[in-house]
Amino acid sequence: MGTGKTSLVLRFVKGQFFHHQEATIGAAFFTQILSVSEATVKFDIWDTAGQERYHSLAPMYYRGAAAAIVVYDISTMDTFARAKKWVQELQKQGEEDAVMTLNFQFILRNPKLVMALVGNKSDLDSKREVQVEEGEEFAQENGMLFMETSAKTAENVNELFYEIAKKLATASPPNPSGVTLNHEETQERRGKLFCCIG
Amino acid sequence: MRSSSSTAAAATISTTNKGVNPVIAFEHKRFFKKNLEVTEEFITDRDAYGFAVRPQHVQRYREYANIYKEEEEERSDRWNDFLERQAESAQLPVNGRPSEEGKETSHAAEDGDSEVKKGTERDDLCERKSGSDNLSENDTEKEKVQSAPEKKVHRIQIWTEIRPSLQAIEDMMSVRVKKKGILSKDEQKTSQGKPLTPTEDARSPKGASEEDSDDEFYDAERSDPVQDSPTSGSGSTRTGGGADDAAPTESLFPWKEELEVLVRGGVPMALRGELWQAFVGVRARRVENYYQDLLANETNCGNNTEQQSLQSDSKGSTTESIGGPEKWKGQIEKDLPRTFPGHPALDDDGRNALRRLLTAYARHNPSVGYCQAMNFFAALLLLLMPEENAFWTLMGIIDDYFDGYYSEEMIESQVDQLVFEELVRERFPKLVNHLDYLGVQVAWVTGPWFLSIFMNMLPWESVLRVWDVLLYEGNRVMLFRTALALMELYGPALVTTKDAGDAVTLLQSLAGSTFDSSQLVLTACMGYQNVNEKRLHDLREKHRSAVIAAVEERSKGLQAWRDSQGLASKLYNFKQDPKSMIMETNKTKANGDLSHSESGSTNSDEVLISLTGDADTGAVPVLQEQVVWLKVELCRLLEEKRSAVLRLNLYHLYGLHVLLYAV
Repeated sequence: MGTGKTSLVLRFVKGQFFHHQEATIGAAFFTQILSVSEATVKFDIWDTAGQERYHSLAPMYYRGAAAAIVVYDISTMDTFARAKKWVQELQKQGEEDAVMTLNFQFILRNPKLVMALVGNKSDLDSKREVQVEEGEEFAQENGMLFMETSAKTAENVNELFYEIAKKLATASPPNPSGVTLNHEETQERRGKLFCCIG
Repeated sequence: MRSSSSTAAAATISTTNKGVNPVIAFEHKRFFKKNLEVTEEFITDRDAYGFAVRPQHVQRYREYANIYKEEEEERSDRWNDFLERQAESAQLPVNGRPSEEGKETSHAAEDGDSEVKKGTERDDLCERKSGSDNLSENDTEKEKVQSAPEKKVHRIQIWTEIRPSLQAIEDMMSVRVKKKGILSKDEQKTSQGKPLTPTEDARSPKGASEEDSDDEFYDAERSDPVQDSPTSGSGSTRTGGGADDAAPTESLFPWKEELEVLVRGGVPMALRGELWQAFVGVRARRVENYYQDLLANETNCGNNTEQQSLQSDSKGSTTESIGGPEKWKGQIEKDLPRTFPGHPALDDDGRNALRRLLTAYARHNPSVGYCQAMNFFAALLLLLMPEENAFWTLMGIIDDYFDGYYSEEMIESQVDQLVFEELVRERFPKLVNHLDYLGVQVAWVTGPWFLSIFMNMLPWESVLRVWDVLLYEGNRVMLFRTALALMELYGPALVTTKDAGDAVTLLQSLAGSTFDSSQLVLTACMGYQNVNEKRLHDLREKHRSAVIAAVEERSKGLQAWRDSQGLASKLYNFKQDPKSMIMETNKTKANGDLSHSESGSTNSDEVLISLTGDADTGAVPVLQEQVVWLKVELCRLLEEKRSAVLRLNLYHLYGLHVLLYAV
């Protein structure tokens, strides 16, 4: 099993959970709309493949993203280590790749990549290898949202995306002359969301 | 008649002329019921191959099931006719076969014919599939044979020669295997900087072509996957299409053209497993006991294999990055239950066979090891053929057809996406303009298409039809043609989308409902004949250096963000106007320098130069193109009367003063 990226997204987008979720090849795309008090956010979610070597393809998906969710499996310490690496990579790209992210208009209003660190499979508490505090601490050091979720039980899944939506909405306060991708003066925000692995 | 959940595209997809007979749906209902009993809780419907049908596609699948059945009957007749004529004309067998084989021949030939007909009956096939006769382990085989005496015994064996009626085809295709062997040796010198090359597989003359003068082409030595010195495979730089490959043999095989037409029309289900082996040239590739020896390594490792697998389950990815032995083991274990979950044939025995197959391949070619996607390929092959046959077929596909694709750096995969992007740009400028406008990169969607060879991306009937042609042609041309055909079919719907998310969603879902497999394959094969191996070879040469440069930079341990420069920024290069395309084609030689120039050139002077100098400075091409793109972007935004705000935003966010002045 992977860390549960696809399961997490499927739970959020379709409310489904499959015990044996097919391995993701390359990446898969999902969308979901979520209303928070500040605005309506449409998530364009890229769910990327978990295997290390697919990492080489990831940049084209996270480039220009407004938010990124880095997922690890609380029952496997190794996935936490990989999650940390991802966070570092994403932060670098956020700082140094600004010119490229211009290509996505919503980035104009979300200059900072909103990042969330997620410890999935919280239902496997008995097999826990990564303590809650470890996750929290790392997230805090890096200015990330943190949450432990279970795609299986749905615990904290909607909450996670809700928090991200809120952060996206506040990161880009409503601006009458702001830009939306569909050229309508709506309150809607769009966030390309990148889901990657720990 | 056809209702579609994807409304926007209903008109574009439903172009088959054949009528739909509602009665046929019955048959499949029966099938669904039957399978529900054995499937996991969440799976609702399965198709004639035992694969899950997504809920939103069930209706359309049922409509097409009838067409599939008609097509299957027609093609079975055509193939039977073809094979009969072939048998007649080949009264003097090309290959002197041992007499025992001859005996088996006549028996199996009968058997084969009857099976072609049987294959048209879907329900029969389903039963056979769910019996999973191909997937049984050694020790359970005998039981299965006894419990299912009506089944062909030779299908249950670990290694089985394909039926003699197909051996002429196999012989023709095997010539290609040999030729590739030669090519790959020539190419060792020229394959520049490909950091990972698959192990040269041992190929020895096996079977009947003893009197062929090709023996000298074989590397007769058994190659040990560990000791073998890495040599370049042939896949990526091979020239000539499938047809060209076998061109010199035209006189020997006068029926080749007819065969090609037949393959494009689809391979009968009952023959598919064996024809695929023939196409891949499995018999010519096979080395006796090689598969068994690869697996035997495991037992040599002692009892700790179980522990190892458990350990690497938790540490799998760490070991993958540091490159320990059997580092792929954990990943294989993870993926076994995630390969066509709930498929009736993938019971415990089936998954054990899958584990063996993937393990053997990883040991055979450590430079690739195990890559996600191979689990799906291997499982499909196991559904169609005995285990060892599946191994040699998989080996042919990964080592030859997809050489460099699934290796650690996935270089050829990245190269192919750049090539495809260029082809799409050339063929569908309007569509690409629209996608550019939305900020959609074609490769987001087509990358996974190529890597999965359309598995789980298209309906199964279409996947198999594409594989028929791809395996026959012996290269990746069909990947490109199919993807282009999909763009042709769905481009009109895509240009109506209003944002990136909608476009990607639509393309993904339209592709997933491409049930008209014949239309797809014929559009692909007929409409894009000028997309051939020669052309792809040239385009790959053009783009490869940039990808390799980016990969090398990354492996040198430069900043992680530059990882993205290879593929992503190259893709951006295409995002502009036709002018930049011309630049792109003219500056092939500069590609090697791309990553340097772009990483170093954030200073404003250079930006200024490339802005004012317009298209003629080759020095910082990528940056220049980015700037052109930015200009286009800005112009558009300005038109929207938000100029002041945006200028301010840009100014503050990115400090690109120069940009603003220049605009």
